[in-house]
Amino acid sequence: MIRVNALAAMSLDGFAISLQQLPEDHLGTQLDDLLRTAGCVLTDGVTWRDAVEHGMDAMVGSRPVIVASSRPVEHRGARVITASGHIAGMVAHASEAAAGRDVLVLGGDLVGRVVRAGDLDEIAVTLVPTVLGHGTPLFGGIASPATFALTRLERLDEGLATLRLARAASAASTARSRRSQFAAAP
Amino acid sequence: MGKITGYLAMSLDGYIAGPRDEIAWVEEQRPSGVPFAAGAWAQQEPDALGFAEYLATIGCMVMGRRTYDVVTSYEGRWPYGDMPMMVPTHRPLPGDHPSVEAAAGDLGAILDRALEIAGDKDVYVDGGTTVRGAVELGRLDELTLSVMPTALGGGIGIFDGLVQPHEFTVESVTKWGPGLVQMRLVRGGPGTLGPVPEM
Repeated sequence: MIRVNALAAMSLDGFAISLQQLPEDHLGTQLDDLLRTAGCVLTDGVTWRDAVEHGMDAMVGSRPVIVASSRPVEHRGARVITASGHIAGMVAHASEAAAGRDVLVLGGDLVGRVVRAGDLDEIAVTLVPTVLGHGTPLFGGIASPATFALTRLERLDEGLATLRLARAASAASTARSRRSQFAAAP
Repeated sequence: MGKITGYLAMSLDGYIAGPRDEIAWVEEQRPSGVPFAAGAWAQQEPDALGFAEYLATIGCMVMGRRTYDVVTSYEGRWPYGDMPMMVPTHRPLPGDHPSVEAAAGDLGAILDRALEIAGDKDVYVDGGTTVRGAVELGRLDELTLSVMPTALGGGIGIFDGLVQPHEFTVESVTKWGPGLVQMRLVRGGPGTLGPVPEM
């Protein structure tokens, strides 16, 4: 079953933090781990631009990249397409492009949209011990509490902690299947 | 002189209660039967700082008025015994607890007084407003956060209203109870920590 996984960083008061603010080797390790099962990457324009600037786009390899953007984006050899519209549609598109493997979602704003749509199966979130006071809430606007099980914990020398969290078994996948059934119904 | 400390449970996204002070999400029974932890992390022995152990380090509490009203509305024994407690408020306090006093004046002065009362023990600040106030004053020395793997999306945030960034250093991350994560934070930017095996 296709899973939708995400990589994010968050302040103590729940605001999304750019992945590029994480230690580079840690970000590389997390990405490497999640890309191992990923068949497609779904991200936003800002996150993709940052990835290209830091040379992390190469990690994607031959996997298709769907960038939620209405503007053209840079791609150096990567299979990149832009998409817009409802998040459920973009997740469906990415799921199809993943060819039986998982979808990896990157970018705080996009991760938040996937969470609100109920489509997230697992998230690796690094808690940065900073209180920002303002920003984009990573879990803002969810209709009901999102319950996870902690499957892994890693503490970094820089004073960060990365939590791997899994949603209730098949909760998100079931939601996506239900949407497909309704969409296919005459 | 002791430290000014906090001990709180919070949701993954930084809330200590739902919009109407609900704390049912902190309870062990979880919707859809989702465990707190799975895999290797679930097998680790809990080694976190329990509340009773924490309270033994405390010589005086400063509890916010809203939290005090909520705690005194619960049935059962007063959980803090004869612990000296100051409640920043101008209004009379309900309940009959001889060790609790209403404290007028600014929070900084109240914290100073609490440190005097605490002697060589620490001060425990409780309640979102009070914890936030201590953070804003730069007076919160340590914060023990038990992180529930539940995102609420809204509610009473520990740090609501703070407009300036505040940095902490993670001193330890341990397993608490059935798989929750407890983080001990100290005031200030990231320090140098030793490596901890991935769990």
